[in-house]
Amino acid sequence: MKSDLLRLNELSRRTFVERMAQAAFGITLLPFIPGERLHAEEAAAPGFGKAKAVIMLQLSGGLSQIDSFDPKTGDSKGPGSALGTKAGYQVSSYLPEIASIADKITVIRSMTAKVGVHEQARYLMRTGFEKRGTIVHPILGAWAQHYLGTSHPTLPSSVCINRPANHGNGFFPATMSPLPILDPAEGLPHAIPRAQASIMDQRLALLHDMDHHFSDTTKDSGVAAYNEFYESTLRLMKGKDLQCFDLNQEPASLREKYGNNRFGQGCLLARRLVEGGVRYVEVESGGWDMHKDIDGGMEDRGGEFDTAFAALIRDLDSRGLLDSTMVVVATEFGRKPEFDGSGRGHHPLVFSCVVAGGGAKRGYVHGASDAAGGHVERDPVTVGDLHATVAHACGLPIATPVISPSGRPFTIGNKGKPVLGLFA
Amino acid sequence: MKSHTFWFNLTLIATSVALVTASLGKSKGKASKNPADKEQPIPADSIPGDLNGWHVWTASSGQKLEAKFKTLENGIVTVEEKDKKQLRFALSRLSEGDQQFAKACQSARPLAPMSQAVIHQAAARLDETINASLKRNSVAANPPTTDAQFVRRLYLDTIGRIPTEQEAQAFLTDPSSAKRATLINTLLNSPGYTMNLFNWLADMLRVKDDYGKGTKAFLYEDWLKDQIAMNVPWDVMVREMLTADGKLNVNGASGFLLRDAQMPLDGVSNLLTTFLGANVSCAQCHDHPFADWTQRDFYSMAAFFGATDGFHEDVYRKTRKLAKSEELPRMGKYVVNQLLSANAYNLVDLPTNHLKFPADYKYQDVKPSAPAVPELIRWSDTAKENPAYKVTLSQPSQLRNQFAAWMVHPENPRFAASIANRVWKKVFGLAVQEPVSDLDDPSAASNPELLAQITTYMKQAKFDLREFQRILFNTAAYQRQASQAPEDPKTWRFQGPTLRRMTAEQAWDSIVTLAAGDEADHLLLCRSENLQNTDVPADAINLVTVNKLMDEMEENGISLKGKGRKKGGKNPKATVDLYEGGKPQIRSGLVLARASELPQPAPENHFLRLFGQSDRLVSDTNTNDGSVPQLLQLMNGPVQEIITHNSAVMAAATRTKAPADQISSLYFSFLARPPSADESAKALAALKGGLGIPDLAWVLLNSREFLFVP
Repeated sequence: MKSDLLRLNELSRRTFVERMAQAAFGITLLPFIPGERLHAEEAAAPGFGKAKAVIMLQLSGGLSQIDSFDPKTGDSKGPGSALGTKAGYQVSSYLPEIASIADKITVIRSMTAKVGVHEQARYLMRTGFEKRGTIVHPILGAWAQHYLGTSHPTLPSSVCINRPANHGNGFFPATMSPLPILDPAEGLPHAIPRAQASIMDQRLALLHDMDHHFSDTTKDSGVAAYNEFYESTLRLMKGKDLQCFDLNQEPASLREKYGNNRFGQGCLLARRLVEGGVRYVEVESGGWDMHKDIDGGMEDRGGEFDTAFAALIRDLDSRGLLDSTMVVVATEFGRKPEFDGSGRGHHPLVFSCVVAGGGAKRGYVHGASDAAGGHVERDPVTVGDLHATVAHACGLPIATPVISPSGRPFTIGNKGKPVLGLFA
Repeated sequence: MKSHTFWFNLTLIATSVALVTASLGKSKGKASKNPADKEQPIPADSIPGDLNGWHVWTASSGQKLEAKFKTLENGIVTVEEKDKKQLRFALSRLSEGDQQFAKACQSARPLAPMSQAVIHQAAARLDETINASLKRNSVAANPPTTDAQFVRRLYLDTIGRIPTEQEAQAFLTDPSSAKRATLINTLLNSPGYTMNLFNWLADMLRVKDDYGKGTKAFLYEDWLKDQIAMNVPWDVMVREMLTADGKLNVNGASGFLLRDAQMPLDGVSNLLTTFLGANVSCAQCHDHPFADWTQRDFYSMAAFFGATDGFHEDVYRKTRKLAKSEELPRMGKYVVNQLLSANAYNLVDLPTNHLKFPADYKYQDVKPSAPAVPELIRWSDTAKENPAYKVTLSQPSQLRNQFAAWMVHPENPRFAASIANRVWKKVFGLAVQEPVSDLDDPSAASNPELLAQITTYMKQAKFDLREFQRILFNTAAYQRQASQAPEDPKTWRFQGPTLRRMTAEQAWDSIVTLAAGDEADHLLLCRSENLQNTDVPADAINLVTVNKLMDEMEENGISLKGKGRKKGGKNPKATVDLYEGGKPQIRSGLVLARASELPQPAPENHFLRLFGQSDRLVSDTNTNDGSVPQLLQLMNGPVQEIITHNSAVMAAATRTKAPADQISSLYFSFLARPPSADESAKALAALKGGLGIPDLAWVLLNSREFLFVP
């Protein structure tokens, strides 16, 4: 019975779509865990289920750990200096705003990976799995939707900002793919019908009347998934929740605090969406591949990130949302300790990530790199471990495998272990 | 079919002259002598002089151009000017006399490698194999397509768009019993074929306008389109890509290797995966966990490119420095970034191979940082007797050429199989062996016999992709109804093609057709003109050169205004002048040109990207998944606006007065079929209830039947 439910064969996929439909209609919102009950000890471990939402900030290109969260002296030192914080640890002088919220976040200085190629590393960080030619793995938002159901009757459960969805549903149905918002200032484009409401209703009635014959006769899951998308799109168009996508509802002063750029506005939009009931939001920031001119890069990109991330943490905290929202700063890999006077090369062996809120300790550093910043000194955390940690915070069953359509078992974070030490 | 009819008839006559009953090679997996070889009546060198020499071409608009005829394929004429530059234009844009001249030139050229009779025989053999597999596995074949299903699907699969109402009607009312084979030939020889195949290749080869910081790869894109338009065989084309020398702004073919010039090892990994189905991305960093690839294998293969330099950082730095100069005239920065930076992308072969194993190489067979020695991968013990493996490795500067010769050799164990498998997937929706990027495990094929067979036919067609597709479209298996793809591709028996949503490009091109008719089939984007003028030696990258280039551009009437980075690509008005064959319409801010004739890839908020066009970072990443923004676009976006107002499809529908006829016209335009009695009655009732014809067009655009191809 257990494996039948886990196996995403045709039958269960269809059941699945039906279940999704019910959940999305708001008829039933039963959270469900396939298979048996969770292991008791998993649920009793610190931090389990504290995070109701996740904001995943993706710094695309490889954040230099030494020039951000893990400053070094000596040969490895970059163009910036180190700033002390009231949490007792240092950050780079490129991040003055983050220094002032250092007491609200956990820095992981012992991230480690093997992949030093952009596409593969980006994929690994986004999914927790190494990229394969044979399968596409789901993002955490899709895993969460699989285990917990949809997070809201009309809003999507996952949204990705400043980036395309790129098959984020992985081997789960397309209905679990994140909704992409390419420009946060524009919000959700074309959400308002051009035709009068009465005409629109008549059109939709006719569409339904004329098209169901095709859908009924093809009996195709791809067609069924499209039917689902039409239903959920229409619910979204008609509901009040559309306002969640509209940054114009925010005071200008707050918009300014996040920074007048796509990443900053994306972070603000992420907060609005989480507040509205979206479970998983990715926000991408490009331009972190600083082979040359790390000084200029950290001033520009680093400055935008510094402003936006600090504003997001403060904003969530002041609204009482930080304890139930886990914010993660993820990147592809780190950069080499060797500084050539201009930039640094790719370096997956050790790098830094940040988790804040959702049950994580405030003002804490997990793990350490060696003196040069080239290797992990203690408490290594793999990308899979990071995924397991976030999943644990969300209350997902990390140890329970899902059988993919191709018959292979997969678990969240590819057998990674949650880092329980970073939970309060 | 407008002015093309005459030429198509001519082609068909030429093809039927070549009809011959020749038996195919019987032993599978073994290359058979091509029986059509004898069929070439006029060798290339006996083309009469006046057809082969300089000719002054006249466009229907009166413009003149002196050039030599190269090819006329798919309704596109390619000519070469005195400076060796090639130009393409639609046949229909030439004066009537020159259309005849071009046809005469083409008919004097050698014929395709396979005759119609051989094509039909090959198709029948494939059907035998498929039917045997269906029987063995107790799977029922899908029912045959109706003519309406067939015409719509074939248009999409060959020329990348749905048929117009007229085109659909013409086929449906044609009483001929051979009309399907005729339509296959007609469509494979239409301009849309080039566009459709380009889209497919662009996804596979990660074709991108911008190679970083404004460096443009337009010449490469135009070169690719030229190759398809001239129907250059796949092996010839790939060999050219792997052996090309020179700069991105001088030699279009160099654009393939230069795509990965800054990460040459990734480039090798990509080309092995794409052309040979060798899944080596793991072996780049460590031994492959379950396939046979070791990291040493990878480096031995990569060593063939170890003497090749692509990206020249010194030149690049110079252009960047110049671009930052404050003395630059207005728009000078644009010239430097968009034009001069291409000089840093230059394929040259050095006298020594400088590839070394990584410093952290962890296996015992080679020392870390040791020089990598070129060695070809052997998939079997018989490799030694295989003629493909006869290469000489003495000269480092020749390594690339030797590699290319091995790779595209008909007896290379993978090359033919890989492209045959890929084209099969394009036609049937699923490859014989999935994924197409990994053929390392031969037992993973759903039908190994079928894979061997299509590999043989690919070789027999001499890597002519159009001929190969002609075989597949003529199979009974293709001409059956589509059904849902299985969870496990290995279980598919090709009872028919798989049911697919239109690709992003097919959906867009169909929408362009609904909006503007088949006009867009003849609009060709040409952006590589004058790029060669920006070929500048490294020591001339300076202010003087920038000024000179700007003067030249002004003299030639090339406007620099509005082409800055912020406005440039996104300002549609700035691009309409770049089209050969007329100016595309701009509606609601969208240029109504075919997907292949738009920026590559389209901007990320464009319809194409919302519907799954790849970002061209990774090979084969077009997707067919649904999303909320897609449907918002269809329900409320500019596309529905364009189609419901002043569109070709609305004009066709409102040409008649009777509402029932108007409804019927819309059904033919969108779905290539008449409405059922029930559908007609419902639509009539809706019209009485307050909806108009535009509303009906909206409904059909938003129907699942429009997007999915049964």
